[in-house]
Amino acid sequence: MEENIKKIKQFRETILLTQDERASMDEAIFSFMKMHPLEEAHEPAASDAPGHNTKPSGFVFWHVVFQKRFAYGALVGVLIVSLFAGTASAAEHALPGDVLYPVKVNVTEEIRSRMLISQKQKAQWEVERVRRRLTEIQTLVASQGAVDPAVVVQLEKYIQKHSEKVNQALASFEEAGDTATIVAIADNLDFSLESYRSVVSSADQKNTRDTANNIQTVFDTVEKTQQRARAAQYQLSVPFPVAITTTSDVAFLEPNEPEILSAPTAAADTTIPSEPSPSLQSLESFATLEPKVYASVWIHVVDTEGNEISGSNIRLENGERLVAHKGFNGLYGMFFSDVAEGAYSVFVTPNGYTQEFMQSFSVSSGERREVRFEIDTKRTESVSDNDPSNNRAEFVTSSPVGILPEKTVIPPVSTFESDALLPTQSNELWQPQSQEYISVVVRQTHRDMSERRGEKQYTITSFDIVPEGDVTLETMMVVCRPARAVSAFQIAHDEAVVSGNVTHDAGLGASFLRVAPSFYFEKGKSGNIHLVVDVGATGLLPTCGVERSKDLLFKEKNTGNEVSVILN
Amino acid sequence: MTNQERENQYVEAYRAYAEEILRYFFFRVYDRELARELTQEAFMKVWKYMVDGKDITHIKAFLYRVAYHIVVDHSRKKKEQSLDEMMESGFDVVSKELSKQDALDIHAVIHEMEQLGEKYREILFLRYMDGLSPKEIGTIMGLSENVVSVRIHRGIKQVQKNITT
Repeated sequence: MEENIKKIKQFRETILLTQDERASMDEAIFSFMKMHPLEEAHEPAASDAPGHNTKPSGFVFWHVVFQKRFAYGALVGVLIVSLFAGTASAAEHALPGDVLYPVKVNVTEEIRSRMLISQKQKAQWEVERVRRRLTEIQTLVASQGAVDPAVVVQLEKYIQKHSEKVNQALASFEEAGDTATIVAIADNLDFSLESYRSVVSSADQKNTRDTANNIQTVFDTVEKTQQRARAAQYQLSVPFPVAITTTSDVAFLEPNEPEILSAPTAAADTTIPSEPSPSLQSLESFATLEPKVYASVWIHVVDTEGNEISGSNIRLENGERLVAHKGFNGLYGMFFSDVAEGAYSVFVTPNGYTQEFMQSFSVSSGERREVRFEIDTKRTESVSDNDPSNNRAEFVTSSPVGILPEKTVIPPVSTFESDALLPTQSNELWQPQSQEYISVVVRQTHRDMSERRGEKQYTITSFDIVPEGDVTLETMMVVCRPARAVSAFQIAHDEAVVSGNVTHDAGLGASFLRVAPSFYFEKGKSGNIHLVVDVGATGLLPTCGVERSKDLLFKEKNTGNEVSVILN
Repeated sequence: MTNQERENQYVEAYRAYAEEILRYFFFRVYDRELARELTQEAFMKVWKYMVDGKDITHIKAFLYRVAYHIVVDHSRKKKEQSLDEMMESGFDVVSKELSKQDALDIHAVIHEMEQLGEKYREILFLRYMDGLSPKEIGTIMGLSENVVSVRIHRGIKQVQKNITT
């Protein structure tokens, strides 16, 4: 027994958060805190900031939680202006071998890195640092001809370090299936290598064999990272004939050296939109200007009592273009980070309703905006009542920027389509039509997936579903965890086949996937779903199953209305 | 407490206990991804509670209580992946270091603990899965340290008996 208890203890200690998991949880938690500040008046003025705060966590807290402009203003203000403003700005122009050069790489650039919150931005900054190192060698070779071998060795070390971080980030983007970011990284590295190639040949002529070799090594290191990124990109290419609508919202940090800017670059790549991108400023201006960063948007769909209606379909669009993944919100709404400055429309189909609501707003850099959709659900609950006039909901917008009329009456649903797999685009059709609230979720875990590890496609399983009880029609949905393991899927229901791309759930449920379209089953009629999932390049094996779409709706209510579903 | 102190208290607790709470959920839902979501939810709930102007004295105990309610709430709604299913897919999904034999042993103990009544089960889980001291368990469950110790003792004896027979 003692022995077993010890084993449990050992096992327990292996359950840890990985760095990535920790980072994503940090972002969610700290954003959540920011969105729900403590009640009393609280001025995050600069005098409050870290200098006066002796607790160690204070730094992290202030850094992450407060609006970036405060954090930057206070932190960089106190740190740089009072301590070594002159040093830092001078260091920004230092070259390898200069006294101030280590300050540039180890202090000012590190501070920059810490200020970036999202992993995407951090990775992009590391790519930029690789480019900076390459440019430095270029400058040295151009101005001095022969370069001190020790300097090159030092640079090589830095590049190794930056590349390592890029590689780590690549791995996690790969897992997340974030092809757009990977493409952007690969292209940017490509571009750096392109401009560096000439240095290698000119260094060959001017330098000793050792130095030239070292410069070649630097080149190789960067090339390796670049190839790693390309490999990841190809791995993630989706085999299904599926239109991937997620357009990249990656905007790269633009190099600040004009001669590099004018070169034909990866910016021409269609995957990188020409949105206003944050440009690099030298550190001193960085400290005084408002940070050029992305905005974030938190979207809530609530009932009149303020309870989140989770499972609502949300998407964020910029004009005609879908800029942010769409999906289903969790218990605390849906959080979009890395939203570029501009005007957006957010479309919401509340869980259990057929109508789509829309609000438009615009965000500026660094802004955190909360958008609320308040749905009056009261009258829709009395569903047993057949009077169609009861099946109404009122929509009241409480957001300061709303373009909807103050009250919109949702028309009652009178008929429904049945028996067929319904098209994904038509919200009106595939949203639950029956107004029953179901509190049961059935999940079937596929058990023999591990045997097929290594194959590209998995036939998950077939489900026979027989609705029972008082439900006329059911909306079922495919759920896979972890979401990042799935890059595409195909669902077949009897003859009909529907495939689609994956929508990743942001917000609370970031780690699992709900796959639209949903499909209906009629009472007393059994159906068969055949699901094929492409697991992509992560090598992770998802657990997939079918879930009723409404399980999260009104979770505290209607518990008496349970029905069972038989899965064979 | 000033807001600053409360914020610090919260952030410190989050830094210190996120993984403990993750484990708590893991041993109740046997699904790592889900456990991670629930952990996030637990911390959000605690923050919401603080936003409502309430002070928390024993934040660790409070966290466990919140976690407990989330699990109860959750299991009412969902049929979880059971421990047995988890065994089929293997604990190695979670931990690669675990040998097959160890996994079986752990499974046996957890399985027996799950068979115990509510009175013993939660306490044994808190003690062995979550590694809390009897004093901490007492604070969480609203029991005296003595009562907790006695139940742990009796509970584990029962588990031992059931395993060997």
